[in-house]
Amino acid sequence: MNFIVRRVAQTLFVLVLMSFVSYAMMALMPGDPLDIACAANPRCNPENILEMKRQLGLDRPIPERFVKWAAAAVQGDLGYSRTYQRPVTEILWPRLLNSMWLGLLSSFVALVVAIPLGILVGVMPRKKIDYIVNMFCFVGVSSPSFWLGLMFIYLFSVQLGWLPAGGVQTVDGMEDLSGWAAVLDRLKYMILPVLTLTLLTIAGWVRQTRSAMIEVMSMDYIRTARAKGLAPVQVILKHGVRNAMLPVVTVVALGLSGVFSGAVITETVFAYNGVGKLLYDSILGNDYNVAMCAFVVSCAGVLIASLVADLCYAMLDPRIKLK
Amino acid sequence: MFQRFAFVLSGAVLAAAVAVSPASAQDKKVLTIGISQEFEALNPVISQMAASSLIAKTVLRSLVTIDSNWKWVCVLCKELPSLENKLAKIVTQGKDKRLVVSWELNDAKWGDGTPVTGEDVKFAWTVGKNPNVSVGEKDIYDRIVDIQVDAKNPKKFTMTFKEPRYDFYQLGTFYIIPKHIEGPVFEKTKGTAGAYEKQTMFNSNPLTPGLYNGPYRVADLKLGSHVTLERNPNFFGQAPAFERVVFKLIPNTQTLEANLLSGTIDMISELGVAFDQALALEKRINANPALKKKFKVNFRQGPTYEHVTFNYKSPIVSDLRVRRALVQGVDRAKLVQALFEGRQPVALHNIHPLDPYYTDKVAKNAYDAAGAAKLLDEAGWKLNAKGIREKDGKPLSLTLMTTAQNKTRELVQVFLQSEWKKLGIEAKIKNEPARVFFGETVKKGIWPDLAMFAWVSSPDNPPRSTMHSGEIPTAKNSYGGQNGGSFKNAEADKLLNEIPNEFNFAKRKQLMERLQQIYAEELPAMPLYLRAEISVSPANITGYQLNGHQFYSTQSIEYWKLGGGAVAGR
Repeated sequence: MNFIVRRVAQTLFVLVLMSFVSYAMMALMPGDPLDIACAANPRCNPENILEMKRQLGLDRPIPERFVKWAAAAVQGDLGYSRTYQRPVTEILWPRLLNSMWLGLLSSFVALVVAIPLGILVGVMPRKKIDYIVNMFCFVGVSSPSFWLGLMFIYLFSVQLGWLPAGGVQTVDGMEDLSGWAAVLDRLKYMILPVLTLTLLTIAGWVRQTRSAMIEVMSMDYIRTARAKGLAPVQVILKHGVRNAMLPVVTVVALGLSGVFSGAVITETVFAYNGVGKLLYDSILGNDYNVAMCAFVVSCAGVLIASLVADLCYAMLDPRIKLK
Repeated sequence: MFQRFAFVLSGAVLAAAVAVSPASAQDKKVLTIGISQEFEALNPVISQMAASSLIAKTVLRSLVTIDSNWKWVCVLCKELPSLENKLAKIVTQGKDKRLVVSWELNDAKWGDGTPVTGEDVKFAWTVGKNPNVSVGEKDIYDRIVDIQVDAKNPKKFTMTFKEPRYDFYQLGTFYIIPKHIEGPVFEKTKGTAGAYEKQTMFNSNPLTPGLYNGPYRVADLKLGSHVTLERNPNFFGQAPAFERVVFKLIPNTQTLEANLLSGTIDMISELGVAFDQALALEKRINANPALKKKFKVNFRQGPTYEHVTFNYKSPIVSDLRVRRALVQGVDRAKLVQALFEGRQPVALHNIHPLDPYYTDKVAKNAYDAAGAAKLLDEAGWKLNAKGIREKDGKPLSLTLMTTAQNKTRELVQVFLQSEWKKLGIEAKIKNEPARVFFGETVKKGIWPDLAMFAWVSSPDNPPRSTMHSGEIPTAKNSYGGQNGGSFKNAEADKLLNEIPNEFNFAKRKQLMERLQQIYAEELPAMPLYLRAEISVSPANITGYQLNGHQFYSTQSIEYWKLGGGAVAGR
């Protein structure tokens, strides 16, 4: 319990520190979007731009602006998006939910496929199946997500016409989908982005599980377990997998933390309205309220995931004591 | 077991999802248009994004606009005022001369049936000039000092302008918003900076029919995703052919193209594909008869022209002979042919060929490598043994800057570099991210010698911001000008001061022609090419055309139709 309290306090400290650093870096980036918009418009009045910046509080020192933002955020006032003029919650949450569904589904599929596959090839190294899976993994690891995404679009949307090329749901407004029809409609739009993310994730996780299994299966206690006459399945599952999962847990936990920050490239390629693209655009657009909120959520996701990973260590290995 | 279950489940989901796929053929009741740029809420007074303007033109109409022939025409007004038709007159009020203009609105109505009146015009002006409301082009509201609505006929009103300027009617970005809906919101928020922008009904309840006076009104709006429009039964003009129009945001241009080819979208708007992608797509369409039946790629010279601006603070390029040599030393005809297959023509100067003031009776600065070499010799830059020009022991080395990761600009840079190398000029490339380049370097005019970027030459718009010495950005004016190259010419200043006050078109044209001649003689910049406006449309669409100016094609959406005979457009 003491460990959890201490880690939560550490997490909060890191969050505040990272928030300030990212706020300051965003503010120090040269070229405000208002200036750039004005530069492209011969009718733009620069005095007007200065006045707009004053209204937005951009003429104040960075620490003062940060404190003002943080004080409001702590009280639950996340402010308005400078770009969209809508409350941050209204802009952020739907996209965060979209990203979470995408991330959770792809992580779930990846987990279900990658861990058993990694264990399988880990206990059968240098066998035919190991070579085949390894080849698949190398292809997966070295394929850029934008390329893979475009290939899927080309195959399943342009050539076969089976799946929509992008978006979150059908938006022609001609039919009002509800209930299961709406759920299935959304799932249809998720298939290609999930497939892209899953294939990329599977490749990494299989490699990680495989190498952990190979290492564990060569340990003395595995030999002892075998010498005791335990069935091979029991040796693998009870002694092998449990120990091999320690490094895998870290990788999977950090991978799952990405659920909160979205997948900017995949979301962009599939025009999937998620938080990754929003975070990227809000940083470029100096949309502080949105960027900071998305950043804090994503940072918190990473910190919570690493806390969960630490707790999992203790569950998997009783020798590890959390102090 | 679990894997098997997962596999079966995924298979079932895939099959079911594909099965519920809506019929692709909807008899084209819906037109789905792809855009690659973000949009915001559609309040035209405060919106700043180009995509918002594109969409807003389908739901909101302004008093006037520029048609596809680059002429100012009425949209919500009955007759365009002028001194000749006596709807505009110069009056003296105290010490000042003012311009009083009478307008009469047509029978336009808001989406809820309420007539559009002078009160709405006055309200839009009140909102636009309020210091607490952020407006990009506030100047358009600040020019007006008073609006009086006719008590007997609310469709009639007069505008009093601060200064008698010939361009008073250029109110294309003066949008009218409904007082009966937005009035109470503005009353509550007008005293607080930024409050109106947040609470405007265009933001809080964009589906309110009465917000719109165009051929469509908003049926669904999801920021970052799409806008669905439905026909506005109260539109004053021709009823549009499509029952619904959907604007779908697809930020990745390759995905945008894939969406088009897969039939997810029907067309790509002006804010869609890049030039090189459009050329490749056009070839692909032309090579495939099935695609050719479905789509066509449209190009039209846009108002944006690329140029290399010379920085007069550079001791090398401040010499006119060097500037002329740099321009004459580049075969720009070859450049546009090699890189753009001639689809983006060479720009002669800073005024567009479709502009009413355009003249080609100017110094052409045509390609002449020998003449360019001679000019450099005259300026004291002699070729050394290594083939580099030098003067007083210093090589003729210039820094050429532009935006990093802009493929087209980088190709042009390489072309310029190789052309100048033939003359013995070294061009060092130094590129910056767009944000730094425009936000710092161009804004403050601090590039060393040469900066390549683009200006918009909108119709009937004297280039004061880029050519007047009063527009040189300095720390004193908070870098508030756009003449970053520090071009100074007393005659140009005089002309730019006179032009807005000259109501006689023929005389004004003379002044503008002289200005173009000065540009071509003095060369504050090296004009490169006119950028094309591009879209991809259904092959059988009629009534659709690119405008090639700042007001998008969507201002004529009610005339768009698939198949059938040609129809008139705006």
